[in-house]
Formats: sequence, structure tokens, C-alpha cells
Amino acid sequence: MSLILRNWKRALLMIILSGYTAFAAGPFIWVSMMSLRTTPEISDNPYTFPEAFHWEKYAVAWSESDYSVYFWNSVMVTTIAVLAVTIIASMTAHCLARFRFPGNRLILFMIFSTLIFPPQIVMISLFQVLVNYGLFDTHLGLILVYIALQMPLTVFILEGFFSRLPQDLYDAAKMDGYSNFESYWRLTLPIGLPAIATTVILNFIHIWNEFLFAVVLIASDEKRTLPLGIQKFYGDRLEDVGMIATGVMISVIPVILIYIFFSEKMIQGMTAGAVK
Amino acid sequence: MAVVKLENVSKRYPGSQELAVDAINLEIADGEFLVLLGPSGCGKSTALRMIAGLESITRGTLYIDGQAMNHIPAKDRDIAMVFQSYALYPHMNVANNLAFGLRRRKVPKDKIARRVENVAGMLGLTPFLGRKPHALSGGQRQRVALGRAIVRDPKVFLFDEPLSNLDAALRVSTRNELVKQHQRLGATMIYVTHDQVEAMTMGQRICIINNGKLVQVGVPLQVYREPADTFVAKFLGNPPMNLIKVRLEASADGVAARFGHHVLPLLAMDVAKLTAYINQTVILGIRPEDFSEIGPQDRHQHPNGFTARVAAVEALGAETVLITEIEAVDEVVRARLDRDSTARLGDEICIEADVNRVHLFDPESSRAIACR
Repeated sequence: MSLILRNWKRALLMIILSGYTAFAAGPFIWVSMMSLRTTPEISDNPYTFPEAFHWEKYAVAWSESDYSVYFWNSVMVTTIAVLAVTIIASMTAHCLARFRFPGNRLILFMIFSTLIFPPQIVMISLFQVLVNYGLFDTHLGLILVYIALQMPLTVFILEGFFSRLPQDLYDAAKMDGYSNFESYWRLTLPIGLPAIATTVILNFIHIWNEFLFAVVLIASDEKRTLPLGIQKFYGDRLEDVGMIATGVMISVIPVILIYIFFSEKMIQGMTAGAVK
Repeated sequence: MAVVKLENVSKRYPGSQELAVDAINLEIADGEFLVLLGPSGCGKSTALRMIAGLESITRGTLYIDGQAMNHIPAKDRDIAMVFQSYALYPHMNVANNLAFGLRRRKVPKDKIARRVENVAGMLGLTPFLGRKPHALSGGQRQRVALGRAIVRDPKVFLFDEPLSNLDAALRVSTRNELVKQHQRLGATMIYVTHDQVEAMTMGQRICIINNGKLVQVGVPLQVYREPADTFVAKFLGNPPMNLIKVRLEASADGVAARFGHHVLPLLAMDVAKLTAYINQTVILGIRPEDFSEIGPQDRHQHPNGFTARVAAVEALGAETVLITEIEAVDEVVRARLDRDSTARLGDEICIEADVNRVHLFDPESSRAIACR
């Protein structure tokens, strides 16, 4: 009896999980199918498998629609911004987690409290600041904005993780002769890798897909990032759905690669065995 | 090897009114194994961390080999420390954990390899050199932590409750291992614990700390037999010493302690040293093992025996501890008796204290009264 009940439970669980997977993955699969079909084919029947796989669309999008330019712009902006956020935020979080000084919690609270405000609020003033400093329509300006926007959440996540690392490790390193910076470099960074990987993935996805600030702060075509590039296929009277889908797929691939690379680190229990 | 000397060393944490460590004076001899013993929060770990250089010294001076160390950073004190949590670097394997400190000190690579190999061999860690800490048992991690200290060949070893995370059996064997290593290395070692068994079995001297103050220093048995105050009397020994409020009276034989209608002649005491306390209340200390049970037929031969009602029986196999209630005594009195004791809960038995081994304490200062 209990065996039957258990099987039913398992079956129910599988049905729910399958339903959720289809719900989550369905649109992605649909777009990936559309990316291999032409726009007239899609217009005829949007929900079907490709009759012929138009792989050449990827080459067309890459070379003829300037996707290569947008792609490398996105790679540069995202990589530099994520790298800078990771280094600055991890150093900040290390200091806030490790050192007792007056105002420690206040600083953390102030950094975190900036998350309360929707980023759109700062848009106008940010636009003006960037224009004043000659950073409007530059990648550097966009990168600085991304760093500032992603900093609070990154500091908050990393501080939470770093503060749980045992103080004894740092005392041991101090006795071994390592300076504060070396402790950060040789202990906090490698041991904090699961948390850092989490923030890298979050920041990468967010900055890679970011549209609002990019569309306001970048004006030149050759400086566009991928989300702006895809927008090019939205015409006044025609939407090239097939090419949009191809563009979306090109933009998704790096995100998937980053996730595959860092997700293993994310789930690794690196601190297991550190204490007790 | 080194002589460590604390001169009026105090510590006050920022924002705190009280001293965590209060004017400790202590000298640890070259090659000595000294145990800092005290309850949780008494300041013993703070004292150790000040010696290590992990905490600043608020007042007083710390000397190592005659050199003031107050402003010398931890890394330059040539001290190694074994932490309660082991503090092994989780992302490094055993070999790298052992070598980490040496690399920072720019020791040549071949020398590091040799020393790591030697220490690993000494502690039986050779098969585990490639493993990371999470793949080791508690005992193995403990040995790596010890190895990390030994490999540096420091002047002084500090241990901050290093056995408290081990199970009982492993604790005993590691205790012996540590004593063996001390004999082999001959280094100065300072060991912090709240476990009196560790203190008694490992320390050449014990230093007892309470509320940040040094209460007593001495060889273990001396501290056990001659506690300086009621705190040490209660803290050292399991079950702890019984402390009974009594009235000292002059008697024909010298002095006697009276509680209720019981009168205990204190024959071994020097009457001259107790004159100030005659007809005063003092605290009488009797160790549980200094009681013996008197059979009903022998009571008339033991006029100093008194009746106790058994409130609980702890039959431990090798011995039996009776928790008893005695007339005119506020607290329960513990008696450690022979394992063959047949006393049962609720029985009224007769017990007698060895009057040659009792202690007297001043009720106000709690200090022991020199009375022999």
C-alpha cells in the first residue's frame, strides 16, 4: 500500500516538475526554433519545428547586421564591469566582514539602502553627470554606471558570506605572517568563490541583458550593446521576427556558457571542513 | 625555546567598562607546559591572544626572552598557535596547509618540502598530504593543525582549547600525543582549556583565571590540594569540593567546626593561626573523596560521623557518588564512596570526613585561611 502511495507521490512530483520545466523552457525552445526559420515561415505558422534549418541566419546576423560589433561591445562592457564590481565589492565586503570599526554597520546599511530606489530615479541626473564629464555615449560611462548599479547587491551578498568565514582562519594567516591584503587575496577570494561565482553570474546576466541605461546613455550605432542591436530589427512597419530570434539566441549563448562555467563553483561547499 | 613573562597585563575591549584581563603577572619558564584554566568567558583566551599578538595589550608589558613584545606584530613574535576550530585553510591540501606559513617566511622550497615531510611523518600524516581538510577526520585535522605549528619550529606554542571539538576517546589519545610532542620538542607551550582533566593531566603548572584575574598558579596536585580560594576549590575536582558554612569554636583539643548539632574537631589545624576566627563563621571545604561511609554497627567508634539522607545515587562503576542532604547544611553534600556502596535513594547513612584534609576559607574574601 505504502509503495503504491509512494509511486503516486513520485508521479505527481514528476508531473509538477515537468509542467514547470515546460513552462520555463518553452519560450526558450520556441525562440531557438524561430532563430532557425525565416520570417515568412514564422508568419505562416509560428508554432512549428523548422522545415529546413537556416543556420546561415546566424552568419547573416553576425556579419551583415553588425551583430559582431554589438557582441564584442557587450563582451567588453560586461566583462570590465563584472570584473570591476567583483574586485571592488569583494574588497569592500571583506573589510566590512573582517574589521571592527565605528560605523561599520552604518556603511553596510547605507550601501544596501540604495537598493530601495528604482534605478530609473537616477536616470536624469546620471545622464546629466555623464554629459558634464564627457562620458555620454562612451563605453567607459556605461561601464561606470553598471559598476555603481551592481555594487550594493554584490557587497550585500558577499558580506553575508564572508562574515560567516571563521575568524580563526584569518588569525592563523596573521600568525603565519600574511598581511590584510594577502589574507583577502589568499583566503577570502578562494574560500569565498561560491559566493563570488553567484554574484558573477547575477551581475553578468543583468549587465549583459541591460537595456534601459544602454539605450539612454549610448547614442552611436557602433557603440551599441547586443540588447540595443536586437532592437534594430524592430522597424516602424516591419518586425523581422526571425532575425530578432537569431539575435536573441546569439545573445543568450554567452550567458549559458558563463552559467555552465561558474555554476559548479556556486554549488561547491568550499568551506566544508574548515572548522570542526 | 623561550621565557614568556606577563607583567601587569590587562585588556579592556573598546566600549566595555570591565577589564577582560586584569593585571596578570605570570612567568612561563623555558620549555614549560603551562595550562591556563578557567570557566568560559574568564579571559584566558584573551590572555593567550595577547601573547600571540592577535589582541592589543591595554596595560602592562609582555616579554618574550626579556624583549618587550607589546608593539611587535604577531608574525614577528615567532609564536605558533593551534586554534579551537583548527583553522585549516579549506581550499588547500594538507601539504599546502603545512607549508603556507613557511612560504610567507621565504624559506627555500627544498627546505619547506623536507620540513613538511618530517612533520607529516612525525604526526602520521604522510598518507593524507594530498587531501583537503574536508576529507579528513576530526583527529586528522587536529594533527594537521598541530603540524602546522610544529613545522614552523617556533619559540612558543599556544593552544586555544584544541581538543574541545574531539570526541571523548580521541581527546584522551590526542592529549597523550600533545604531551609526547612537548617532551620531544622541549618547547615552551601555553595551553588554554576549561577542562580540568586536561589541565591536571597535561600541565606542568596550572594557572587558574577567574573574571580576568589570576587566582592561583602551581603544579596541578598542589593547586588541587591547596586551593587558594573557594572558586578554585569548586572549579577543580569533579565532583567539586563541598563548601559548608560552619562556626569555629575553641575546644579542649584545639578548634572545632560546628554546623547544626554536628561538631567536627579540626585536630590538624594550628590554633594560633585561627584565633581571629574563633566564634566566627567560616567556610569549611571537604573534598567528596575525603568522606567515608560508616556501617551501622561501627557508628559508636566514629563520634565525628554524621547522618546524611541520600538524595541521589550516581553509580559510576569505579566509584559511587552520593548526593546527600545533611541537617543544618544549605547545599547538598557530595561524597565519593567505594563502588560497593549499597546506599539507596532516601536511605539515611552515616558518613565521616577526614578532618586532616579539610580546608577553611574566609567567608568574606573567599581566600583560604592558612591554618596548618
